[in-house]
Amino acid sequence: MLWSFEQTLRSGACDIALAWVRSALPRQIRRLHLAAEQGGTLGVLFRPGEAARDSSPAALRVAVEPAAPGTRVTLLKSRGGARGAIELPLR
Amino acid sequence: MRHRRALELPLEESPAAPAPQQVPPSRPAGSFRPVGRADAATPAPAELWLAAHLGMASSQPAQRDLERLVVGAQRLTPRVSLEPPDGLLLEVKGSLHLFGGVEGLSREMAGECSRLRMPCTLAAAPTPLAALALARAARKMTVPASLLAITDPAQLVGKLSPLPLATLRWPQDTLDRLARIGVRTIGEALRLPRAGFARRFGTAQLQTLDRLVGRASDLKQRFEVRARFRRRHELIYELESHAALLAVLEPLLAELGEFLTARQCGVLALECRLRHRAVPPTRCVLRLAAPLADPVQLAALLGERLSALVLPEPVRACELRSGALVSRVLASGGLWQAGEHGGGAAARAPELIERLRARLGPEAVHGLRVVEDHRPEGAWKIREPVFTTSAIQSGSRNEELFDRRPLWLLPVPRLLNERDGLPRRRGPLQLLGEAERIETGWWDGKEIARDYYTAVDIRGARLWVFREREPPHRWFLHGVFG
Repeated sequence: MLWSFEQTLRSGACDIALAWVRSALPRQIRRLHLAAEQGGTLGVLFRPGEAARDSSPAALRVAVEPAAPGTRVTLLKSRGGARGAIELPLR
Repeated sequence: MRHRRALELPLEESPAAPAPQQVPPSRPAGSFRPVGRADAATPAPAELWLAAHLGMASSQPAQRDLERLVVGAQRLTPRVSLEPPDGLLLEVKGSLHLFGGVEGLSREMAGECSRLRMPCTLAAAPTPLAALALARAARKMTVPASLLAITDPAQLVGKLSPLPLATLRWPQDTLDRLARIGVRTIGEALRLPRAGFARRFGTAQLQTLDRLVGRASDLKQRFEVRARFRRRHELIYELESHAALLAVLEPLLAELGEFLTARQCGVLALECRLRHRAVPPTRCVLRLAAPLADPVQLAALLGERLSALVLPEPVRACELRSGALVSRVLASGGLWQAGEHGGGAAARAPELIERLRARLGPEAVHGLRVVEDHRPEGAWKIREPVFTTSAIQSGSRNEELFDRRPLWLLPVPRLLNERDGLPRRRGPLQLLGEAERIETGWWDGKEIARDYYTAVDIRGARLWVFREREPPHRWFLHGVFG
């Protein structure tokens, strides 16, 4: 699974690649990060909510969870260190 | 010119038809007019045929070798026909300027022949039969490899006249009878009266003469290379190593590449069979995302597949079979490098998909297609990946309906608990809006009758649930909105 994702990111064939995984080690995420940089591809890795507690070498980490009227997006990690949460209401 | 010929055709053939009395009076019973004079208004011949007369001194070339030669010759012109047992005809008028005239073209052709170690003599003439006769005559008279070429139709009859009649390959009996009346060359035969000739030697021979000098059109069937490629290589020793196997397969792949280039085709599927001593052959099937003809790329992909293969026994023979051929449009190389201004991305996609497939199997990678069906399960299908910019196109996409469909559809609807007739999932579900009734599919046995609702669970997640219209009116979860 992660191998395919890494190959896709590295090939540069796609503009964006999405993947859903149950678990990923920081080392593996680092590899994905390098592959995405090499291929110039935007990669998004979806992980379960519990993973927010672990550290990760990803450039941007965002927690998405359902909130009463819509979706709450929390910025966990970003370059520049901005933090915060916004709520996106549903249409 | 070709039009004229086509129009003249019935007239030209009528004397050759049943009775010699039907010779039209406009034609003097004397003989054949040189065709060039009649066509003086059109100086250039409409066709130019290059004939290759093959053959070793002792044996005739095998059909297989001939076919391989045709494949090579099709690089020069698409109009190649086989003249069994030992001749090859190429209509080269259209490709003369591409290969440097008759000389350049025949050099190329001679190269193809010598590559297959088949001695050949070449000759060019405006009609196929004349070219063949010239080539055969050149062989018989052991004229040095210099090319015999008649490019001017006006000279055709004059140059053909001294050739022996045997070059036309008429039955020996006919040749003997002609020889008894002192007719040994083509020129002498052409001077005989048509009616008498047809009566004594048959209309078929008269037709031959007509075709020879271009009075009658000579339709040649174009040789079509077999639509599939299949080659087998017997090993003289048994192989176990994957690398050695790949080395053995490489010449086969190179031959495949040549075969495909000549047809401007690519393969989408390639099967490699490895035969063993006792157990049934191991099959290794390579499925490609885009038609491919490059032997280097094919070898790389096949190598990836082979390395994942477990060989039960050493390999004694390997065989390569192509799937159906797909015509391949050769695109020009892009100006931009990949990743620059969006260049190259589409070109890389097939490569990526092939790499993924080679490792994970052909089923692992597929594309999606929207199907016109109200049943959510039937509204999409998997398909072979394609690389158009609008890969998922849906002509009459209903935007409003699209918004009411969840991004995630469960493979099978999941039964929900219920209390007081309302569904529950980790607590009560709150139904939003009106029901969307989907009741269809009675014609193919997968009938559904459901009322779909958007529901929100206690955590705020939006779900797509439905209630059966038929008793027992159970509730199911069918999808999750993003």
